[in-house]
Amino acid sequence: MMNADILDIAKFAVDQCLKAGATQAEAGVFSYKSYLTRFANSEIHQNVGEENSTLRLRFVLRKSISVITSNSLEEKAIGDLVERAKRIAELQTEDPDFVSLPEPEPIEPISGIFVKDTAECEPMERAEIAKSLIERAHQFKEVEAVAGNCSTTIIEAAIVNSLGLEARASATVARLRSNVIASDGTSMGYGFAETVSRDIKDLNPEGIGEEAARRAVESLHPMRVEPGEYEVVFLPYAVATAMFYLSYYGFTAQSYQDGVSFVCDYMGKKAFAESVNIWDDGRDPRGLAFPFDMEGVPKRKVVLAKDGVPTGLLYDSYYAHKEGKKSTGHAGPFIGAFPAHLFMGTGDASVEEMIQETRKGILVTRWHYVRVVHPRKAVVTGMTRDGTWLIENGEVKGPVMNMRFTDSMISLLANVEAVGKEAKTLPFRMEPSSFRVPALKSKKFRFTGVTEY
Amino acid sequence: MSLDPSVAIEEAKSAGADYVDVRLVRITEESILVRNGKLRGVLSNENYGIGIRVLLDGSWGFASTSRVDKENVRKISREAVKIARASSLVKKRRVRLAPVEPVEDSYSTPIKEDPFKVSLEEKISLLLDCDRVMRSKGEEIRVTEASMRAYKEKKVFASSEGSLIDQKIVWCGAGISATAVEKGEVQRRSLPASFRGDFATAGYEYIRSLNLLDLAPKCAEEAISLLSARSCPSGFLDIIIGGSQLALQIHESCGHPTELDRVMGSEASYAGTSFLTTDKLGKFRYGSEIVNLVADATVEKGLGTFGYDDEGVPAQRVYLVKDGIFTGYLTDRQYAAELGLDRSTGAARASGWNRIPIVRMTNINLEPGDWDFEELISDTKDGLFIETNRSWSIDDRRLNFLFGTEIAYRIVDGEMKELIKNATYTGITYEFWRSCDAICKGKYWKMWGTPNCGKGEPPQTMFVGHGCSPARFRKVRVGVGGL
Repeated sequence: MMNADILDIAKFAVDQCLKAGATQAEAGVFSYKSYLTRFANSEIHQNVGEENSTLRLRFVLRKSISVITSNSLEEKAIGDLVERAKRIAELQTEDPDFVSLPEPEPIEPISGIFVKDTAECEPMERAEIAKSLIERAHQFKEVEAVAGNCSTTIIEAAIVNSLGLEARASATVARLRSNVIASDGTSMGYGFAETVSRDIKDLNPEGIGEEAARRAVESLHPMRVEPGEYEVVFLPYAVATAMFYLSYYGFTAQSYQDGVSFVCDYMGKKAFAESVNIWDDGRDPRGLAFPFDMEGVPKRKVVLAKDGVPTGLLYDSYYAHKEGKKSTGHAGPFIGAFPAHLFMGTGDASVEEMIQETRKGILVTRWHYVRVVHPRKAVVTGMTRDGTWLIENGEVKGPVMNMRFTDSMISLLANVEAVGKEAKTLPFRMEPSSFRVPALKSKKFRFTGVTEY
Repeated sequence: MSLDPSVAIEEAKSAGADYVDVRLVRITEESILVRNGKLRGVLSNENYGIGIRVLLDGSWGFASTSRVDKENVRKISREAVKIARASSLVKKRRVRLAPVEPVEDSYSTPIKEDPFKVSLEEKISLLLDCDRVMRSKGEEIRVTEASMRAYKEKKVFASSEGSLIDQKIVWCGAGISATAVEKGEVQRRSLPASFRGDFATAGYEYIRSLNLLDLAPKCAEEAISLLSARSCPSGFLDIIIGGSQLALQIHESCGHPTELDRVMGSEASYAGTSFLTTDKLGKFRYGSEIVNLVADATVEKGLGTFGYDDEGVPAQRVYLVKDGIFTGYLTDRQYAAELGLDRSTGAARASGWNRIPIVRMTNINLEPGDWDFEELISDTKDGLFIETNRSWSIDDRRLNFLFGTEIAYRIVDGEMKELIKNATYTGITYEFWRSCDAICKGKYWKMWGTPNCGKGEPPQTMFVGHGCSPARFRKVRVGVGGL
């Protein structure tokens, strides 16, 4: 079946499950062609390509379910897989919370998510993009080393279940990121920039190279500031990471039902400043839209927080059925829902205006290595990275050494004073997921440590 | 593994490659999760494919496919060469490889009981029993989980230098956890370690040795007790770190910064670089004199134990820190040559056929000291005993870290006293290791397995090991974050 259409492979697999005695069955075939050109020390040092197709089967026997995956799509291999899935399902105890696989619903295709130029991008084209980025960054005389990557991916997904659900879509993603290191012999500076698009032609390597390099140069000679509570201005890169941790640990049905989410204490109540609006919308073309989730359920827009009040949760079919609800189309690759297309509403301030309104604060480019310290209190810890500056009396005083923060994201968002008027679309590691978020300013955030650079 | 890897080598050579290596890899995995008394899933995964890596005129190219028929493998081999040609567009220096003796050999993880041959009924039944015991301990227990995972990797490595190595790596492990919730407070306890348990290159006999069912009552009871425990005090205290937490400390603050590719800037665009720059090699005081850290890919049951790495370099035991001085790196062939070493330390590992080998940890172990655990507690006047990781974070040069743990006990005048919740501690890597003044004896030493180490672009998840016994660190800042 290697050369068959992925939808036909999925249909065949479901058919085989039903013939083997499944009461319900679901097959997802996910096909990837992915290429990544990676550079460091201003040269290409890794350059890789991958083609892979995976079949994921859910074999249901009344309320017993087995999940099995394989990347062998030959007819015989699928037959063997079905037999194994059946054997595992027979050994399972029943899950009383399982109601059904999702019912079919109409899925509106989304135009423009597959771009031929990206799909057909040759290795030399990615190398040219890397070259342009590196050369632009090196126009800053202090730039010592340029790192980053340019990747192009084709994702094809087909999901079929025995209730008549059929979903199929293809999309492309092109990404470009850069970390630049600057040095003037006595100090090092670090900068970052990133972009994502459907279309390889949109990547603008010179712009990314310049943005990262400028930030690196402006980060030279950082001073040490003492940890403590500061006002903060976060650029969209930092906000994106905050939104992911807030949503994955807070706004998913599984964390709410388990009682570990901060939303348990705030659903329908004011948690954040009124200017904070967060939603997930897998159909909005400003993000990396994709029409359905891992169960083939159409993506729905879910408002997670409106005017500072948590209002919604993300569901897959399992956790939705537990509450007698419908899935919101957020089934992820693991158990439970996954926030794949997060948006934060824009405000009316520019970053410059946020800085002008800051008496004593920290301007942060990115969050690095973030972990949840206490999920119910939404306390996270992490480091700043690739450009951190001290703001005093409405002006950027100069770069500072990277700082550790340990604080609650509830408090961070409750104290938001300004939201950026422009949002930026940024990629999430798991494709095709994305963020579209603005910069924001909060009047207090706790920094608990400082590093040496 | 029916395809002859020489098909790819010959095709890539004829397309112009100077060096070729080929890895045919089949991975079989099974994971079982019981959650809140229900079998939440048995996940079974089979993954097979081929990865072809070439050097052309000193530049790398790599292509991989799950379609392992001769015709497609030839096509992918040519694609790898085409990619290498594109790499040379942005090249500053030619890649050189430290020499390795070509070898034809095979290696298998020694196991007594194949984890894939133990019946599912038996495995599920054990996990359900653990889950039931945990849930019986009180209404506060809101979430219980018991899980098990087994992994088998069959791989063939062949290179244009003449190596042909066949390996079969098997590992497995299991763990349990209980989450207690009451009045807005959430506390979780996991045994024998957090994040799904403990793992080893071994057969199912290892899972039996974990005695999960015996751990279940303690796991739930401690989670409930933590709800009403006092919060971690803030300040500077002596801390004694238990094995499973110390394993992660070693991982983050010694393992990653000694990866030579990070040091050389290769990971600058993702994980970051390292403070252990090459000018510090052989000179820098990383820790106190009693700190000896070794990378050992040969240790029994270590999750990072193998016969050969993914460049065909034999498994080795190498000091990273000797008597407190930083003395060595984890390397692959390329970065070993760049540093001027005469051979790689054998730490090039790929997470599958579709990824290139990059410098990874093997088993990074802290050698035992000469203290009895009880002696260490009684020698501590005012401190904390802390154990089991809850959160971990470290900066991109591996200096400033903050760890949170699931459980802690206050030590006062040489005695373990009250239970402490929400413990956190923070520091700067070398200051922290220099403050280490006591390490427990070999009888407390244990290998811990970490199956979820992330690195690289595209991402790779690797399984690595850490051996250690509890150790004491003086005047460490604790209670960060006001929890």
